[in-house]
Amino acid sequence: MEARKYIWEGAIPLQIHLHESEVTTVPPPPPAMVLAPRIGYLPLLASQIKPYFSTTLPPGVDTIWFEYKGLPLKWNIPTGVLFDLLCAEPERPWNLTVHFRGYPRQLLIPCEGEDSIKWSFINSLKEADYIVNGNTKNVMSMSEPDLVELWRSVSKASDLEAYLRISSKLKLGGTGHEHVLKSISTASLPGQSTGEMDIAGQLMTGRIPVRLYVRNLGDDFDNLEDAPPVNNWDDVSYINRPVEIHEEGNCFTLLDAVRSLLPELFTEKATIKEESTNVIGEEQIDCTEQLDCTTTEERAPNFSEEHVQSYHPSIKLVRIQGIEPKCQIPFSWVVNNLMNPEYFLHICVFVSVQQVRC
Amino acid sequence: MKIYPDLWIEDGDSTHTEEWRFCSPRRRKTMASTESSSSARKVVVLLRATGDAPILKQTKFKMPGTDKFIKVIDYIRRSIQRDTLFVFVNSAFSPGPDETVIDLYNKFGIDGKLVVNYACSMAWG
Repeated sequence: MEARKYIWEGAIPLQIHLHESEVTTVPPPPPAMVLAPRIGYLPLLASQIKPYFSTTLPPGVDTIWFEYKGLPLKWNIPTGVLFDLLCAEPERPWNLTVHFRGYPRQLLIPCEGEDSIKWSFINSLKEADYIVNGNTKNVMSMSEPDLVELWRSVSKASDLEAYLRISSKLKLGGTGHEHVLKSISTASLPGQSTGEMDIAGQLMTGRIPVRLYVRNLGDDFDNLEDAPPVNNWDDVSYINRPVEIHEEGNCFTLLDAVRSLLPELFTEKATIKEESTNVIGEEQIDCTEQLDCTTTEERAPNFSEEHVQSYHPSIKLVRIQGIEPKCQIPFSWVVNNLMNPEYFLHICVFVSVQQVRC
Repeated sequence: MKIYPDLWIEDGDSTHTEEWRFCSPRRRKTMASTESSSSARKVVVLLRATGDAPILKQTKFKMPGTDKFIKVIDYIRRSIQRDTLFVFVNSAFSPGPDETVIDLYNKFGIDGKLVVNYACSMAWG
């Protein structure tokens, strides 16, 4: 609950520059300083930003849009996720460029003010409902006042209590609503240690809605500061697969979740291990589990002699809500505490690719 | 029922395997020459008109799973030539245009198909 509050109140300091093509006055206006809620969406800041620049704008009317290092920012991705994904080494304040003209219709989906953002949010919520419950009845049957109140609390990133009160009716699981999760007591599963419980002392099962963003840092990368900027959204793999949590008796960790979402990366590793060390069955799985996200890459070249693949991706970093959680943290904790208000967990994964010589 | 495999303009980027998603641009170039289009999974998409939306001549087709949902939206928009368009999966919700068709199919596919409803006026709020 406390973590949830931190996230609700979490904000990124932005220093917003008006793009030079839209400056018509001398001297140019100073940048605007704004605190952007992590759970919010950039165009919702329009009412705060526009007054700073309204006197200098050229004639005409268009939709507000933002860019970072030349990359137009997708408004339907929560601001915190954009920051986590695009600023490999977090930059504060985050320097963004704002445009009020020349909306890049080929690159961004149309945004007609707050209604578009609300539409996008509600549809994500419905999608999450569908993933969890197999239908969208819970969201569809929400009353109009509840819907208005829910969107007000999210769009303003205020009144967490109101949000929790209304969202608990959706029966989608998550923070504060453990009663709706399928829970089992320790007694019913002998042999479990307390470490296998989440913070509420309960196990969580089912399908967790996840949006995963995979950014490739390239093959000759040492430091996050040296990471090349994202020039094109095609460079980010966007993966929408739910994480299935089964009652397997084992603690389902963040690493397990990432592995289930990106089997390609882990299969590759397993293949290398199998070929080179002939570890089989259970032992092999154990070995893989012990691998730390950062050490796998260093170990990989040792096996390159016997390996004929010419590429080797490995996970450098997993970032959620600005945090880089340890891979062994229970996934249920991550879901309960770090999910966004539309019930999706947004995970940013940074992958480094090594060319493995034959 | 006839399936039209060649409906979609398959540019080089749309038929890649998982390896392609994670490898370096340099590797992608070398892969481009060797990779065949059959290595990418295809998804059968079924289009259903809702309300007063015109029914398309072709309502069922295959497309590469790596394509994004925006491609479906654009196709319907081009075909029916209406400004206002609402596109839903399983009459339930409107997915993000960036989601890949294979991800949508795996989550919401029914009987081997991804059912996409479209309407020219707001349906299913």
